[in-house]
Parts: sequence; C-alpha cells; structure tokens
Amino acid sequence: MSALDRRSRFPVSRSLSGGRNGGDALTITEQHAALVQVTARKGRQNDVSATLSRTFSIELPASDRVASGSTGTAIWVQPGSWLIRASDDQREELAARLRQALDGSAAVVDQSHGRSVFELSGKHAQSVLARLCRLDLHDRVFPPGSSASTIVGHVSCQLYRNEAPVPFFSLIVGSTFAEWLLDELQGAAASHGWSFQPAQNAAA
Amino acid sequence: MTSKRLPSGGSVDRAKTIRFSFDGRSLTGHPGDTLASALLANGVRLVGRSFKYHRPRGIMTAGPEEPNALVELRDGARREPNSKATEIELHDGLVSASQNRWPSLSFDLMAVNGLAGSVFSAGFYYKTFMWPKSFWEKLYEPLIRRAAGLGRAASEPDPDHYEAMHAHCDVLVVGSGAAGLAAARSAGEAGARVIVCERDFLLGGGLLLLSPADEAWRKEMLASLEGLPNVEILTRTNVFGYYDHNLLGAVERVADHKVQPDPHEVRQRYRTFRAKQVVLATGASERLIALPGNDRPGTMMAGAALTYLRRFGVAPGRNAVVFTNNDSAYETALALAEARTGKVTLVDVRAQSSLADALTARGINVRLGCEVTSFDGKTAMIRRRGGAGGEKIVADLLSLSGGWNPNVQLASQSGAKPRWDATLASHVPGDPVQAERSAGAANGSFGIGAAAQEGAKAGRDAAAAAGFEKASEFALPQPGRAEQPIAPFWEVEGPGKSFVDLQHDVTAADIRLAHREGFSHVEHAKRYTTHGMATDQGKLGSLVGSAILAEARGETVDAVGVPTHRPYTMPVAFGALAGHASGAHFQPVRRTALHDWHLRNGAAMQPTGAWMRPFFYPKPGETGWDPIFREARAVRSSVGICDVSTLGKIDVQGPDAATFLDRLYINTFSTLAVGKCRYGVMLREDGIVFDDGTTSRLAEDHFLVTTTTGNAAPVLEHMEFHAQTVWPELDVQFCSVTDQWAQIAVAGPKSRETLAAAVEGLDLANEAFPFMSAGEGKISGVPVRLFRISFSGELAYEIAVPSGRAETVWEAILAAGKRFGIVPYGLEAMSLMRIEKGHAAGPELNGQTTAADLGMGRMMKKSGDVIGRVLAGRPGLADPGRPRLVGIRPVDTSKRLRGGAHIVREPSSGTSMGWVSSVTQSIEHNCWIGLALVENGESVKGQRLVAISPLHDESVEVTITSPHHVDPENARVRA
Repeated sequence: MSALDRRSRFPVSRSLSGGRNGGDALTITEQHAALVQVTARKGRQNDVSATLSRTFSIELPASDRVASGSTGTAIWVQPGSWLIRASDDQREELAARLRQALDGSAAVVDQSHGRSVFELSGKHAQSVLARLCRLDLHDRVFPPGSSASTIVGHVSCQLYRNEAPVPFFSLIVGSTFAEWLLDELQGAAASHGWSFQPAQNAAA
Repeated sequence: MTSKRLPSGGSVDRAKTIRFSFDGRSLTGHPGDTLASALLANGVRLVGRSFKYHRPRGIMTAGPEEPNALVELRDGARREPNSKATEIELHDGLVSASQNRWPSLSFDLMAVNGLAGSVFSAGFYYKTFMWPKSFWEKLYEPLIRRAAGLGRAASEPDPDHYEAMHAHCDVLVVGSGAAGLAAARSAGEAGARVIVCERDFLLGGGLLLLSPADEAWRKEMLASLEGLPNVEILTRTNVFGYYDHNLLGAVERVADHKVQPDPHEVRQRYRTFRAKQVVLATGASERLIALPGNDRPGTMMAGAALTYLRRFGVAPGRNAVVFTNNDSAYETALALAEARTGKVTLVDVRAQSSLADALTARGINVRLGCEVTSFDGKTAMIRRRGGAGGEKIVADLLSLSGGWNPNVQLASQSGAKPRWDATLASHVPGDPVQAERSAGAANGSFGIGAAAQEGAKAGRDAAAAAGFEKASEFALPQPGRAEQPIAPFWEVEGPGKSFVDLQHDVTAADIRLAHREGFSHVEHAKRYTTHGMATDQGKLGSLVGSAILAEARGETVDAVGVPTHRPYTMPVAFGALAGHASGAHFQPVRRTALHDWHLRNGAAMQPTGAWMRPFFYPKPGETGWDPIFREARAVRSSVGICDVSTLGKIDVQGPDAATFLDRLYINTFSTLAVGKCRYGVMLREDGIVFDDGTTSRLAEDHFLVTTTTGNAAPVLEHMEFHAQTVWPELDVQFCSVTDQWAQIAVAGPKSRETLAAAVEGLDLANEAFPFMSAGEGKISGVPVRLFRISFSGELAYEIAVPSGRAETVWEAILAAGKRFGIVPYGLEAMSLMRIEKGHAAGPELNGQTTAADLGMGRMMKKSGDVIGRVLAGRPGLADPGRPRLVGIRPVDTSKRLRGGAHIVREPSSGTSMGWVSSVTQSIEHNCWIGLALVENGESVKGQRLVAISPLHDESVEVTITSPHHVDPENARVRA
C-alpha cells in the first residue's frame, strides 16, 4: 500500500509500544470517525433536538454530557452546539444527511478531517490523564457519559468517558495537534507503559 | 574515627550496609539513614562552613530547618547544590561534598572574615560597596560571590526527567504524625477521598521517636489506611504552598533516593491538589536559644538529638549539656543517659521541675534556675540565671530547646493570620479563611495522645464538611500527663557571637543594630539583616530574632510578630516546576496534513509560532539563498505549489452571517456575490489593524473567512466575544475549520494549465472563473474547494482539501504540473514574493498601523458602524503625516538592506522618518528591496533618503517607491 493511501495520520516510523511495562497500562487507539458539528440557529434548538431524535435516534445531551443512539454519539461542545460522531464508513455522507434533515435549523459543519480521535483504555488511563489535564476524572465525579471541553497536554480537547468495565476515554483534538498530543500521551504514560494502535490501513 | 552507632534501636536496618562518600571519603550507613544520620554515625562533626564568616559548622537539626549541613549532591550533570543532609535519604553510591569552603573544609582561608566580624555587620554590603559604581560588577560582586557561595550548580543540561500531576480530593491531610494518621483514617472511614502527603520517606512523624506502644499504634493505623481504597498516601512529598481556592502545590521526590532514576522514571514530580477540605498536621519546629557559640559544631537542637538517638540509633555526642526552658528536652536527656555514652547535664532556666527527680535518679545532673553562657565545642559554661562567674562543664554536645513553634506556614499562606498563644510563647494558626483546619502540634496541641485525638476530630469534621458523615471508631493513644509551663526565654547575652540565623550568619547584635539604624519593623529588620531569608526560612530562630527586636523596641514579641510566611516551605527545583514541558515539549507543535510529505522530500522545516513549516526544499549543492531564488523564479516563470494550510479558516453561517461580517470588517461583505471572494481588513476596537484575509461566499448564508496564520485563534475569540456580548441578537453560527481543510496554493503563469489537467467539474477559463472566484470541483476524485486568489502576485489558485486527503491531491497537482517543471516552494520564497508584490504581513500588521498607513484607507465603507471605526477617527490616527507603507530600493544596487533600519534624510540626521519593516533580495530587480513605513510616505515617493542601521554600522541611500515592486497594475493575477 502506498504512503498516499495510509489511513493513519502518523508516520509509519512511530513505535507501537513503549514505557516501563510496555502496553498493559494504557492503550492508545487512533480512530477514524465521521464527525460533524451541529450548531442550532437562534431559537431552533428544540427543532434540532426533535429532528435528531426522530431521524437519527440521537437524544441530544445536556451540557458536559454525551449521549449515544443507534446511529452515533452526540457530544455537547458549547451552548447550542454538538459534535455528532458516527462510524468511519459514514464520513462521506453524514454531513450531507444531517444538513438535509435539519433543513436550515442548524449550521452543519463537517469536522471528520478537522479532528483526530484517540481512545484511551487501561487501568492507568486516569493516572496518565492526571498528568496532562487538570480536571477531576475520578469515577465519582466523571462517570461514563461525562464530557468536557478542556485542555489536555496544553491543547484544546474534547474529553469524554465511555461505558466500559475498565476506564475508557475518548479524546478529540484538532488534527494538526494530533501528533503533539500523541507524544504527550506517550510521555505521560512512560512510567506505566503504553501501546499505540494506529488507524487501520483499510481502503478509504 | 569511632562509630557513634548505638548497638540497637531505631528504624535503621543494621543488617544491611550502604556505601556512600562525603568529600571523597568512603563511608557506610544503613537503610533508614539520612545522609546526616550516617555522617553523625561515622563521627563526622564538621559538615560545612558558614555563609558569611566561614565558621565551622556541624549538623544542627534532623529536618528541613537544617541551616548548616548543606551539601552538593551527586556530580557531573546531576550535581545539585544546597541539599540539606538531613533531608537526603541515604542510598548506595551517593556522592556528596561539603560546600562553601576554600580550599578545604577543615582549613578555610576565608575564616578570616570571622576575625574581622565587627566589620561584616548587618547592612555591610549596602554600606560598603557603594562606590565607585563600576567596581560593583568588576570587583565587589565576584569577590562576594566567591566568599559567600552556596555550592555550584551543574553546568550541563539535566539528564533527568520531571513531570506534573494534578489531583483532586475531598480531604487533603498534610503530615503523617499522630494527628495526620488519625485525621486520614477518620476521613477515609467516613468515605471521603483522602490524600495524605508526608515529606519524609517514613510515615509517622513524631511517632517514630517514642515507645513500643506508639509503634504498635502507628503500624495498626498504617494497615487500616492501606485497606481503604479511597485513601492515597504519598511519601517523600513536601507540600510547599497553599494558594487560593484550596489549591496546594507539592513536590514528590520520586527518585532522589537513587543514584539515577530507573528507566522511564521521573526524578521529581510536581503535584497540585485541589481539595475540598484540608487538614494541616504539619507538626512543630523547635527554636534555638541565642547564646555565644550556639553555632559551634556540637550544638544541636534537643529534638534533633532525640531523633538521632531514637530513630537512627546514633549518639550525637559523648558528654552532653541539655539547655532548655521547657519539658520536652527532658526526654532528650533521658535518651542520652540511656545511650550511656558519657555524662549528661540538664540545665533548665526554670527554678522548678517536677521531672527533675526522675532524671537525677537516672544519673543526670539537673541544674534548675541556671543558664548556659557559652559553648566552644568542648566545654559549656553555666551559671545561676543572671548571676556572675560560671562553672565549666566538659561537653561535646550542647543540646538546645527554646520551645516549639507550631508549623503554621501553610495555614498562614492560606490566609489565616497566626495568633499569639502566650502559654506556648508561640504563634498558632489563626481562624481559617479557606476550608482548612490544623491539628496536633501544628495547632499547638502537643503530645501523641492529644494530637491523635485532635487529628481524628479534624478528619471527621473535614469529611463531614465535604459531605461524608459516616462515623468511625478506632483506638487512640492515651493523652500524656500535663506539662509544666514553658518559661519564655530567648537569649543569654554575653561576649561573642550569638546566632539567631545560622544559615545567613545573623546574630542577636545584628538585630539590635537594625533597630538602632531605623529598621525596626520586623519586615524591615528581616531584609536589613537577611534574618530568615535563607533556605531554612528562619524556622530555628525567626521568633528569637523577633523577641530580641521586641526587647530593643521595648514591646512584646506578640506586638512585633514574625515576617509573613510565603511559599515555598522548602526549596523547590525549577526542573520539578517545569515538569515535562521543557525542550521539545515546551510548547505545542502543529503539523499540517502534508508534514510527512515535506519531511520525505527534504524540506528544511522551521517552527513559526506553533506550526512547523517548510522554509525551502534545498537540492544537493544549493547553499544560502539558492533554493529560495530557484523556487521563487519557478513561480514567477512557470508554476509552484505551496502548503498554506496554516492560514486560519472560520466557517460562518446563518441568516445574519453577512451582517455580522459587515460589522467586523471595514469593507462590505453583504454585497459579495455567491461564488466570489473578497479581501477584507479587520480593526481592533482602538482603530488599529487587527487582521486581514480573503473571505468567500459559499452560499447566501454561508461564508468562509480566512485569517493570518498567527491570528487564527484571536480572530475566532474576537468573533465569539462580539457574538455573545455585543450583538447577541444576530443569528450567526461559526466555528474553526482550520484543521478540517488542508490548503494548497498553486501559483505562476502555468497554474491554470496545471490545474485544468487535474480538476474535474469546474471550468477554470478566465471568463468562467475570473480573479476572486470561489468554486468546487474534484481532484483525483476528492471533492475540493477552489479559490482564485494570489499572495505571490502571479496568476494563482488555492485549493482546499479535506485534510486526510491532502497528499492525494498534492501529488495529483504535482503530476499535472510536471510538464511545466512545477516545484514546491517554501515560506522563504513566499515571503520574497509577497515583499516584491508589496503585500502587508506580520511586520506591517504590527499592532501600530492603521488601514490608511498600509494604503488601505479607502477600503473603509462610507456608512454603517464597524468595530474600530470610531477610534480610528482620532486625530492621531487620522494624521496624514503618519508613517505610510512605501517601497525602498538601494540606489547602489550592490548594497544590502536591513530590516529595522531607520529612514533618515541625511546620515547625520538625528531624526528618524520611519523604519524598514521587511527586506528581501528580489529576483525581479536583482537587488535588495524592502517595505518601509515612512512619515508622509506619499509625498516622499521618488525621493532619495537614507536607510541607516547603527546596529550594523551601515548607511544605504535608498529610493522611495510604491510598495508594489512587481506588477503594480495587478495585471498578472487577472491574466
């Protein structure tokens, strides 16, 4: 496969594991996803909410929360604005489908290429994030379904916690910061150990 | 040298041996030792020379208050000066050296300073090294630095790693003595999230010094805490500061007890804690008594002597005199007697003591109502209080206790003003200002039983305040018997130096001198004498100094007070505060989607702000400007391709999007047709140019704004501010799409032909897609946006592509342009061409220029309000004489121009008419050219002026021209 068709944002030369104990403590997975920012027009939030519920089975969450439906996940990003995350195979059409369904009730902006998604899982996920982020991510304070727009590794990120038996976070960052953030994550995880899974080399 | 290690007792493992060195000598110790206890065990009595007088000094304390035993730790790049031997955990291979001695510790030439002691009094430097001024840098300062050095820092980069870590909890407990452990357990059992910080490497504080019963309780407490998953215990972690909103800072010394950290291990970890409630169980520090010779090797605080005996199993001396004004030192006398190393004399300034008989029964010579008048390291002189004459007692150890100061530093930093407690003759924490409480000795409650009881209550109360009310019960040590009151006692006056601050060599006489010379406020006296300004922060003698100052002022100690407590409670390494954010990790790095391609193709990458950008793509054999000229010529003569993804891009939508832009830009966007672009200028509120860029109308209610690379975030913030607070009525939505779209400039006379071969679905003919058009098409099947805009001044396009597909599109354009010899060009060639074209960029949009200054005054719309319009009309900004953007070229075309040069009428003129903002070598003119901002720029066009750079000692005659050195008619972009 030629370099042009590689799916990962990162050079092939990147290590796939490192730190003290290798990959057990933290797994960092690069994910491709369809990501579309939906911002309600003035006074149209209820329409947007109803449309997404009806057409996409997504219930828009309140501030600092995420909610998942059958077709994707809605992540609150700012008042009246959500990031809709769906599987990678919807990249090409998600924005168009949303735009059509919302019919002028919201600004619909594709961010599938503008954001990179990392998933962090493992028993030391919170401990690693505590080195990069000043929020309280303890189970009692930041249970599954919690979300925050915050600074992780000195850059703006959207961080949310998924339902899972072990700590499992999604971290969404501007794609031009992705390699920096990967470096920061691996540096912060060094005293525990980490593994890295780049996005699969599937066809585009 | 005989070993001072006792045959048994203490928390050291005599079965194991640790090897270390001090001043090149190989010595041994045991696990559980500090460097200080191991030095004492090896009979090392002299550990350093004092700061000012170079007096010999020995180990004085067993904790962070140590003023004397400062050593250089490790060597090479890991050398660390001013480490307190009392705080260094002994480890195999530890290398240490005394400091501040020249040429050697036992023979110090600088000790002559001590003989001339009366000369080196307080304020000596201020008074002496005043004149002549030039002598300060050349002579005095180097001399003083040599005389008063405090160790040498490493001169190589630190090879070790540091990191920061941030924690939250319901209850933070600082200290793990009886109060701290009890607080942690009661809060933990109530269900609160608890973090315990202990400075030491062993948990227990004062519990480590006492009876087997206490040890059993300590072990039981630790076991129960370990069983609580909601309690985290951090050892080797000193909390150094207490800030607003219950934020506390600490440094965890992760690997300081190793020669070097393990692989992937940090040396130190900077920690922050955001705690709902804080329990301060920081214990107390013993204070000295000022008397002549109270700094001689062999002087040691009574509590420290007890620590060396009980915790480390080391005898601090043979024949001891214990000098006290309170009961606590009786325990030291007993421990010394138990060690059976020699005679023990206890001198108590109080006339009576209920403990005297018990001590006498153990063979201790108890002298009530007496005082020690001097100590020389071999003998102590004692006498009846205030009496004449004296009795000589042979003693190699003088153990001092002037009473105990609760460690109120953190409480005080939190805002609680310390309160004077007359029965303790010390300060205790004042009423809390933040969510904190003190317990145990830190709160003036002495004794294990009282501390544990108070700690348990503090933990319970803190947990309840944080919302955890579950009660818990556990056994506490019995309260001790009531103590006999302390007799406040500060100083025995007599001939010779009586120190109140050993680390900075401040004497009781210096304090009196400060008062006589008018520095009578405690804060003034502190600064005049440097009392309490050393790394021990006056923990031993600050209050003693205040008492002496009080006596001089004829007031009470209470009225004089002590200087304000400030962070840090202990010295902190800069490395720890920087954490991981040093070197390559200092600030975020942004990489465009084409970053990898640039690297693979030999680009010279440079950081510009956060971005990494290709400056040029050198070919083998090219040097200096060669690649820049080659790349720029390719664009001017054929076609080039450039990664311009760093430009800020903001998607603006909504029924009021056009109105919103009309208010932000000095020109109008509501009149822009769909499918067209327009150049726009934005002002700050004060009328100065903020940013510029092209904005395209993608649909009736949909615009794409571009900003300069550097202003992408500030412009978005500017929009957010105005949308949220100034015009909340506007229905407009916007967000950054900078990272969604990679942007590729294709420029040069062959750019249309190149793109025509690559683009599907869009007619690029001049009539169909003229200058300033925007449209959509496909390249290699990838949907792209095309804009016909130009920064180079040539026929040019920019292509926006979803960033994940950028390489595909970039390669497709390269392939299409191959027959025209397309070249990738970097930032340098781009900059060369923009200066030739006369486009304003960062050096011109410098936060000082108006639109008119840059020749864009006519862009301001005739009507309608706009951000910056009102203040841009101020007379100073509207003055037609203001420096205006012009071009400059050297009259002698062989001369080079310099950015930052002044424009003057004559070389000898002292009046600047403006400055050169940007320069480059031109490929069109074969000479240096530049842009400048020159007063009355329009009217001096065509004139010869002089660009003078005193920095380079250069002066070049220049012709003032239009800023457009290339194609002033703007024909090429429309071709």
